[in-house]
Amino acid sequence: MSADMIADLAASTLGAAAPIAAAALGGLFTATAGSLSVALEGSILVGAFAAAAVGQAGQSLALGMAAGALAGALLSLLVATAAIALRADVFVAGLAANVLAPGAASAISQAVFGTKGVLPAEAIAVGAAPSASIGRSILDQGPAFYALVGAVILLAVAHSKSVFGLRVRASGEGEDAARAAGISPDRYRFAAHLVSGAASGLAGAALACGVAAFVPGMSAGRGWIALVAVYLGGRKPAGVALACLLFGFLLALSNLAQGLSSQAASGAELLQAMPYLATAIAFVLWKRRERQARSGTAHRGANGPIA
Amino acid sequence: MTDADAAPRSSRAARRALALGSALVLAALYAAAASREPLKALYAFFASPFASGYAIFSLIEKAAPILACAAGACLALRAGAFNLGGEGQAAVGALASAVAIEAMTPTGASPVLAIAVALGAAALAGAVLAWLSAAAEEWSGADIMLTSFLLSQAAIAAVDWAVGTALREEGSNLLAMARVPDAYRLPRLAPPSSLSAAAPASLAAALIALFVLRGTRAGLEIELSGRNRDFAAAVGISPRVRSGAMTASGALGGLAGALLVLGQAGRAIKGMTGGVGWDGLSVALIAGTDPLASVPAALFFSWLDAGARQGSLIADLSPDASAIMKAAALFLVTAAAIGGGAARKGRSASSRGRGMDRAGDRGAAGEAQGSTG
Repeated sequence: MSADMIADLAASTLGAAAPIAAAALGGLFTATAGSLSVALEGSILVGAFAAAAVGQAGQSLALGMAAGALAGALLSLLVATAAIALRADVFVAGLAANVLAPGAASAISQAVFGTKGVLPAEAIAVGAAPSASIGRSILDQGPAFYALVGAVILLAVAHSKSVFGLRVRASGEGEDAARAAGISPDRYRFAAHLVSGAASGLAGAALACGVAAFVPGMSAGRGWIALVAVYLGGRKPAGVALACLLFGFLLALSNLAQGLSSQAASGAELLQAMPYLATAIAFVLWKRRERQARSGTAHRGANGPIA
Repeated sequence: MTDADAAPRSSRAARRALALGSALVLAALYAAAASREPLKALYAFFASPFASGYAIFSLIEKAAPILACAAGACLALRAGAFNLGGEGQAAVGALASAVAIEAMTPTGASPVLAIAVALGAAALAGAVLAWLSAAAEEWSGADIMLTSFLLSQAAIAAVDWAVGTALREEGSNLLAMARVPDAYRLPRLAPPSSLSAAAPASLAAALIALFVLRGTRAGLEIELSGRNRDFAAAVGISPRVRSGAMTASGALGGLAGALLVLGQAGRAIKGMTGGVGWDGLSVALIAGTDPLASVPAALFFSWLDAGARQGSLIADLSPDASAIMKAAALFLVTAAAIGGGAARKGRSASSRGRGMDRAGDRGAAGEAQGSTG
């Protein structure tokens, strides 16, 4: 493997990991607040759509990114309202948001732009793609990528160091204690949903920037992968980021291998299964190790029944 | 016990009907607002799916695989297992049935035998995929919700490769395997419409799921495992019950794939599952994880799809607009759960989400010490 290839692999690993990491760190807030959002996938998709639509209309990358984050937050507002204000089930509400996202994007696209398919947006094509494409250096990733890196760092610090992050965690871990301290857990859960939606929307916006268009289905399971990363990363920011890098690396490796084997194309497509399979195996092995480590320690009665 | 159980069955059904009705009102508003020809759009959306026997039969045929997936989702959800892999389970089922038919065609096997083998192969393939998640959870505590999704994604990629490349029919301009010979397709019940034996087969699947849940000891054990795993363990219910429900759920997902191949599509086509697993899960949640209530809910989803399709052909609506109405129905059903609602099983989803990490430990604690419940 040449040095160029290693640099390519590193660059595409970072590019593939960044959007997933942004969504995952957003999702981490909901996971630790005790109201896990499964709507990351939907927020990524509406974020991508809003970034393409608004960014193109306003001829501005920054406007597109902002619109993406806002759209993602709006979708999660729906989930939070249903789950927290209306006491709906948060899993079902999140699933509903994921069903809504592609339908809403398509219907708006059809009504406003007269297209139900790809929505081109050259205006947001500034810089290179935060995707696992081959042939660029590590630092040449474009502004959308750096916006994601900034968001990831900000979210990680906010989660572990800020008062807001502490209160979010308190809402999930010790609801009664949080109440006794004068914190309304529901308010922080609500906020956690908005954070997860905005972060996922930003991730979607970066994806749209990467291909200078909105493409139906372009979230492609990244929101679910982000949820896996939350748990694979042990619900800690650094671990979550590492889990995203692992998946990004697997994705980059799979794309690189597909690129290399394009002449003998027959088996290349099968490689797309690899990142998912490898992540599943890593997740299972990690949980097994965790279980073994814990079953060695003293008995744990303090958890209480959760179901 | 939740409020939902205290509420009479009829009032829960009424709430669900209200949610579906509201979704239809929303559909009407959308059709009228988004189209430049509102009357045409309204007709397309609401009337044209019922305009002829042909249209109605097609609607029923398209509901069949959704219902099979929904019946499976009901079993898994009742056991507290969030099977997010329905899409992949249907995909491997579709591939398995197509491969079985291709293998048996040269042997000249009787249609009954060939179809039975194809359906069996499909159910087995879906069951194995789902069982992997269940077994992984028993072994490690890795949550079914996440592994079932990951394995499903991997399976879809593999099936796409198999159908679109490795086993693709030579010379075909479709990314598809060879057509299923007419003799080996499910009998057509009302030609020229696509209605086939897939419809009664999926109804039978739903009724069997209903019988298992309501009328058998296994159903009771599934119910108890879903409600409280610690309690289930304490009264001696094996975690295998939950795995069994998950595996059966996968079998029904696989069956849905075969119903597509041997029924309406007549061949395995790349990407043919097209959301049937997700639709099945949504239908099961809207139906309050009741296989019988899943029948009208699946027909409702099929109607929304047909309406949106017609709306895009006859008028200027988006063919994907049905997703908005499906989402609305889901939101409304679960929000209607305020007073004790439909998504009763879903309710444990949120608490499980809260304790997802701990769920694994509980499994471990259960094994290590028996349970303190």
